[in-house]
Amino acid sequence: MSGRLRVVVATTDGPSTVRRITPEDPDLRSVVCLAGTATALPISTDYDAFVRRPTGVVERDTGHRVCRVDVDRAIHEGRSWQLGLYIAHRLKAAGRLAEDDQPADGVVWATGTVDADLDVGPVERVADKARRSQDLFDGALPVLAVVAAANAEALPVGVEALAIRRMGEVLHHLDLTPPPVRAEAVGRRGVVAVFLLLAFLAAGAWGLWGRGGLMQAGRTPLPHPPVAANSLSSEAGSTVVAPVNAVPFKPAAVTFEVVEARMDGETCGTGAVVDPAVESAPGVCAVAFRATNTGSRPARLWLYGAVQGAVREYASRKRYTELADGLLAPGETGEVRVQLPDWMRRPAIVRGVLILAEDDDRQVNQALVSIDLLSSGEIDTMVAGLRDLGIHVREIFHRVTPAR
Amino acid sequence: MTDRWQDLDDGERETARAVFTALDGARALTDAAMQAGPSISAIWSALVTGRPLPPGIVPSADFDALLVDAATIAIPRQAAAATPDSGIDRQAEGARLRVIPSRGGPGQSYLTITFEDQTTGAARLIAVIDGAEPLEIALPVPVAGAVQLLLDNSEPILAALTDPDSRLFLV
Repeated sequence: MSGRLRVVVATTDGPSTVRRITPEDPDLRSVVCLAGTATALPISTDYDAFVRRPTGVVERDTGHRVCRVDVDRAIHEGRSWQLGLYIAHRLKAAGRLAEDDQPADGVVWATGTVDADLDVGPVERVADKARRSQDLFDGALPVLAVVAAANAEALPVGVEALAIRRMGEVLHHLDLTPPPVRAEAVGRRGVVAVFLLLAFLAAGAWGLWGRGGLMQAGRTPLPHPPVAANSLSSEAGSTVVAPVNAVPFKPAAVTFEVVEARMDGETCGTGAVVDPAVESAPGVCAVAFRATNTGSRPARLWLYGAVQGAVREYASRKRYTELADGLLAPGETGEVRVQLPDWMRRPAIVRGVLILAEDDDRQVNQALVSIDLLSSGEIDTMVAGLRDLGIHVREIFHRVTPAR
Repeated sequence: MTDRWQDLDDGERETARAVFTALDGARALTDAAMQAGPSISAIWSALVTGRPLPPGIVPSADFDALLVDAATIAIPRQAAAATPDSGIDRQAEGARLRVIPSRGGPGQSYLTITFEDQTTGAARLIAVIDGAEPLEIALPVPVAGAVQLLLDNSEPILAALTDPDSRLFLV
């Protein structure tokens, strides 16, 4: 079964569809809620333990540390939801979970327990659960029913069925990658790598990966297509090494500046370069972060700008941020422009992050793919992690007051 | 004082008049308290037995004093108003109370209370603002020293938490 899938947790009251999985503030505990309401289901405490390290497997295997899951039917007790919710998290991490009203290519119907070794255990009343889900099985979408091997006899008929002992069997069936290397087994550098890998896995969770690279809301390509800096294509289609490689890559050749824009009549003006260390007068409508390649060879860069603080949580998550990436030729300039919340009368910190590399860097792409979901502290950690990997990162923090 | 009035001498009658005056004064005080709201004993009983607070309570210094006695932790007025920008974060010796917006549920927030001593707990949170009836909300059993509740932002107690003049009591 492939494509975007909906996950249904089988219960004796009927099928409970996973409507949505949303990362929450890391200071919270994970919850299972009923259909978008503030009703936290009684299994929430157990679900939190299922997610959170050190007991939980979800954080370990997907990086989803604190989550809110919305289901459309109450799940009252027991642990039979574990199999379905684990699969839902894995699909979410792969960008293949059909959430809300997204169209689905199929349905995974599951009931079973999952332990720390990802062994799948049997549960009771599977036949009852299947009976209560008959309408789902009779529906238009193909259904994959997944239960523990010991429950194989109770599998529903007329649908694709899978009785498993280990989680890997269903992950393989769904064409999902096995869990990543566990962070405990590696050093700090390895932990960073795992973090980045998890970020990569989380990419699909937000539907951000596109054919041509990252396709994220608020993300704009820089003028040049993201081709490798050290290669040129010949007419025959083969790749040859360009002589430009003879010139060493110098990150310092790329300047990084902050630009403040003010209202020009009814529109926000183009702005001027300012000293980031100086807080200017109120009335700044936008802040841009500008990178200029003064060197003699192209630079691959990623530019991110965001208003810091809780203001983003009270507005749209992506409203006050912008991410751009691409190849910057010698002499060229790229920038991201962040609109400011014009109602704010107190100073706000606007953060610019410039990441430079000689070539396209998968680790950077992985790290940035869900940056809009990260808190300021988590971005600090991400930046430190990239620096640990030897990646060149520069930051600007500029204090402005938006409202006049 | 079982004697009849006519059997009392002048001194005893003076004593009786003083006692009657005192009793009358005490009754007047009690009646006044009754008119303003539930009795102190009814409030105290509700606090210590876990029953909901009786309706009609008018916050006063006495009421605050009762709450301080009954509460596990009392969080006093704060220095400045909380704003969505800064988030709601109130602390007192022994506990920290925060309100964190839900990313997954627009219009909903998490109320979290973290106890420094994990053996500490509270059954309810009572918010008191002068001029209004106190608000209370039942708390779940703490897990690892922390309580977490998901609330609609329309819950009045959330508004009370943002008021710097509100006193909070974990009872």
